[in-house]
Amino acid sequence: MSLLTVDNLTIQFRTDEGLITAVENVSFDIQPGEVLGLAGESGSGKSVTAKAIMQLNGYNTVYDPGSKIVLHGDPDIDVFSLRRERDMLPIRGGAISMIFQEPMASFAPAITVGKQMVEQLQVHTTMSKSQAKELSVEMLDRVGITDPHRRFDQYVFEYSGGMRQRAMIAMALTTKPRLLIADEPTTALDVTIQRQVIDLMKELIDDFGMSILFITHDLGVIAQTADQLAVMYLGRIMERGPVRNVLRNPAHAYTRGLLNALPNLEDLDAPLMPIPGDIPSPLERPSGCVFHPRNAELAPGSRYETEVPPMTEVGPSHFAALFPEDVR
Amino acid sequence: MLEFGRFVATRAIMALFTLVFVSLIVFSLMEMVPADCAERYLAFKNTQGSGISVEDIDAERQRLGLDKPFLTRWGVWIVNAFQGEFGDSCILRVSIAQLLGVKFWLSIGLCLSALFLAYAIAIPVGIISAATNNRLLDDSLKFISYLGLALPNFLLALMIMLFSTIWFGETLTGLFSKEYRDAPWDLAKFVDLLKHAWLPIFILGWSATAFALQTVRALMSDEIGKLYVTAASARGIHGRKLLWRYPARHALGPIVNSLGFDLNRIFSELPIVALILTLTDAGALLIEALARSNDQQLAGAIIFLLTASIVSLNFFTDVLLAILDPRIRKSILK
Amino acid sequence: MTVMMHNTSQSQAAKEAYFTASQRQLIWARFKKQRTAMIAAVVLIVMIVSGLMAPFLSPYDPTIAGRDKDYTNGAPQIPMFCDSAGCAARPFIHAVERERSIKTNFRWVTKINEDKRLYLQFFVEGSRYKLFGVLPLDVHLFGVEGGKIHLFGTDEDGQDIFSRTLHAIWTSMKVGSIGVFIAFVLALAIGGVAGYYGGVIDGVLQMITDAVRTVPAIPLFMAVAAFMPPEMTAEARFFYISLILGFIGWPTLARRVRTHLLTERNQEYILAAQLSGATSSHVIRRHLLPSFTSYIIVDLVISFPYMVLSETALSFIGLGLKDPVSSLGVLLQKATSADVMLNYQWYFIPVIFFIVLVMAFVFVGDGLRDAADPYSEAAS
Repeated sequence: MSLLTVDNLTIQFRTDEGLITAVENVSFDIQPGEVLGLAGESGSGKSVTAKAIMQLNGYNTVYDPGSKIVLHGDPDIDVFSLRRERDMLPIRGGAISMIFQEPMASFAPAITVGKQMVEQLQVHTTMSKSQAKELSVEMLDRVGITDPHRRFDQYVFEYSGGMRQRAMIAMALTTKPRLLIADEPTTALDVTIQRQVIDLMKELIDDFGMSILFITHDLGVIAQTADQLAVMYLGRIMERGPVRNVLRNPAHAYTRGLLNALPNLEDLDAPLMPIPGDIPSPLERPSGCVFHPRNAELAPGSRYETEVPPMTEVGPSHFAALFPEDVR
Repeated sequence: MLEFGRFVATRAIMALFTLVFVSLIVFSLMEMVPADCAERYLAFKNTQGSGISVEDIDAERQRLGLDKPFLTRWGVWIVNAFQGEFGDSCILRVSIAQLLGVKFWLSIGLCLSALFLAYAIAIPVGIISAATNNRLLDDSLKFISYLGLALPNFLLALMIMLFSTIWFGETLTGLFSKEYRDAPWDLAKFVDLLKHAWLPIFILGWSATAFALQTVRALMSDEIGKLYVTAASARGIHGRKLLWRYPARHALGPIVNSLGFDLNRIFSELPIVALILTLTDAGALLIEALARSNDQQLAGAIIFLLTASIVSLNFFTDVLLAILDPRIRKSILK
Repeated sequence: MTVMMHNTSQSQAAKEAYFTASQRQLIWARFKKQRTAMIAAVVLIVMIVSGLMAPFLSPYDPTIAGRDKDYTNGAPQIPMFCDSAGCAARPFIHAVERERSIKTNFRWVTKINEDKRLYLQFFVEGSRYKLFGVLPLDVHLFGVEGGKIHLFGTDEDGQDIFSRTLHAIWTSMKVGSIGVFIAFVLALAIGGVAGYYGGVIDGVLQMITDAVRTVPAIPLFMAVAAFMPPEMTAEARFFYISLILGFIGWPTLARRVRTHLLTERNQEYILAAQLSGATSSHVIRRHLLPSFTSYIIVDLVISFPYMVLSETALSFIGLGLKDPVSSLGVLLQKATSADVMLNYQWYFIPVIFFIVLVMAFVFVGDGLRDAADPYSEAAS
């Protein structure tokens, strides 16, 4: 039984220039204990999707009534049926926690780290203040922060870069969530710290048995951490499947383009091959397959210009947005 | 704790320096008046009928110590100023301290009350207006604050006077009713003061409120958009707790910072409002001193006192800010 | 490799224009989108033009020389098309006559003569003036034959309030401009030096700036203004008031300049320029200055109303401009007595213009600020 099901998620934003589609017909599910990597360039809609799970998008967000997000458990929670903020507690910090790209910016600057951690526990559990403090200190220690008692009473600006990331992870895990949404957690870190944080996260997955929705544009990080990979472009999923399969046998032209754009370590003199063209403005969404204007492999006048391709199976649990006749 | 003490001491010394420098400006201005105190007083006496001669002027000058060099006189003035002694008024020959006395404290009271009123309104309203998605509420609040900017206090005072004269047939002037004006201080007098003081406080607070409203709203808007608020929301914090503990708490710093400047603005508006409403406070006295009689000693003393109040307030807000914002606090300790 | 593009050449050209637009063009484009700011800008321009053309637009000389002895404290005369005797094609007003007789205890009493019509005329010959201070002319936009027309009424000396208001707007704006200009020059010099050199120089200049800023402005104005000898000519007085306004207004602007310079000069693009061999003056001229020109312009526009307000306040209490120069403050001075408030409410008409002028500046300033800030969402 999956942990989280996202079905036909369509998200639009009301702006002065009109209704902008950020996410269109996105569907995926996450199994317990699984890491799903959501990869894509800026503007692909990955963050918006993640925020939708926790209903954190702004007040000008329009969710299509056909969208459905369900957190399975006892009982199942239909995210869109939650109206009051009070009812959203399970998906916000309870069964689902989120960590962000900028650890410094996600802590309140003038409140101690400890106070913020304790506050979260008191909102979600019935622990007393001292119990909450004990658990928080324990968590800080667990993520590898030395001298956790002293650090508990400090402010986030007194922490070093890697420490802040760890503290953020610690805070997200105190409530023992079943799903951790990580929005570009390693993007702002340098490579050595990246490594440490990724290792930490892997340990925690084993210890806590939780799932992770790992959002990033870095395919290398995904290759190391994810079990499943979904590639998004302009709000739609282009390809999804087990990470090894997708990366080794990319079925969709976009995935291939992304992989080809990576510098080739074996041939240092080879020229870089970016995907031609630019990401179109959100006001000018291409018809048919949204990627078709930049797809160099397509012949002019192909089906992809006018019809949206379905998610076709191209391998075991491996799907891509192609018409069945184009599957190789 | 010791470090914090050092911080306070440093700020206090800087405040002192500022005051000394200001006193230099004020004193120099006083000196720039064409005729000095001796001449003017005697010229004044002259209009009363008594004759004067050059020797009289010189003798007077010596008596007042006006023949000593600039720096000496300034030094003496400022040492006395810090003790609340400003010498005697040029024209009136009465001790300035005595002249100002209660009036100064009344003025300060009025202005501080206006400042308090301004923020008592601006903080809750500003926070709500920034947090709400109701476009109408937001726009109407913006309009009100613009109006407050465009209609300066003295104009507002004029308009209120206009309407009260037309509709009530009486003018709402003065701080005290006739019976209490010269009476000694007691509870009844205080109550009478309150009955009259609401109008000047309201008028003084008017544009201060408009400014404060805009500031609070802009600050809150900024803070609400920051990541830590979203992160807190993602942790399940919601409703009023979210609003007050996160963005509001952090917007407080810049607000505290601006208090001194707000008081500065209110002081600026005091003289004219006082004139329109015929108040008997230091502000109106200032106008008398300058516009009517060119009494520069009195004027200088008043300006110095007003500035000293602002400098003191700035000092307090600096310390308060250090208490509120751990980043400032901790950076001293390093 | 063929890449398919579905853009028409027209939208292509539009995009090109957008990508190569200069800073000024971009700011203007964003400014245009804000309705309130555009309306305010139009209002502002209208007011400025009416101020410029004040001598032409006003029927009479605003000083004592142009007063109407027969109609003191007179109510506003609105031109009408119809009266009890019928309607006409041209607008007119009723004549006003002053008479004195034993019936009125030999006091002058003004009466409206409903039988005598004075028709409105355009391009009338009237008092001489110099348009823009240069062109000698004597034609006025409108007037009335055989009498005088006072759209906003008159004051106790018989001076036409409409003419005075128009001139007052212009005077207040002139004073404000000079004040802003002086403040700007001072701020740029002091703030610029402090921000560019930093260190001890900055520290000292900061203390001076803060000290001046702490002194409440109007009391300081008053003190300085009071020291001007009353025998000063109107023009000299005008000049001095502007000077004082500027000298007291520079600290806030200087602080902004300094803060901006301090942050900008540590930016990497400055370092890059220096490493490429650019001289100090080049760096300042081509890199630093353009980076905050837009902010400075916004600051100037926003500080303008404060200058006008300060001058109005000063003139109002008698320490600023005086007759014969008319500014809004001078006009308002006459409006404080209870007598006026009860009986001659039209003295307050200039207040409306004042409010409109200030609001217009505030809205335009805000609009400019939103348009100039590339990160602001308000204008997008």
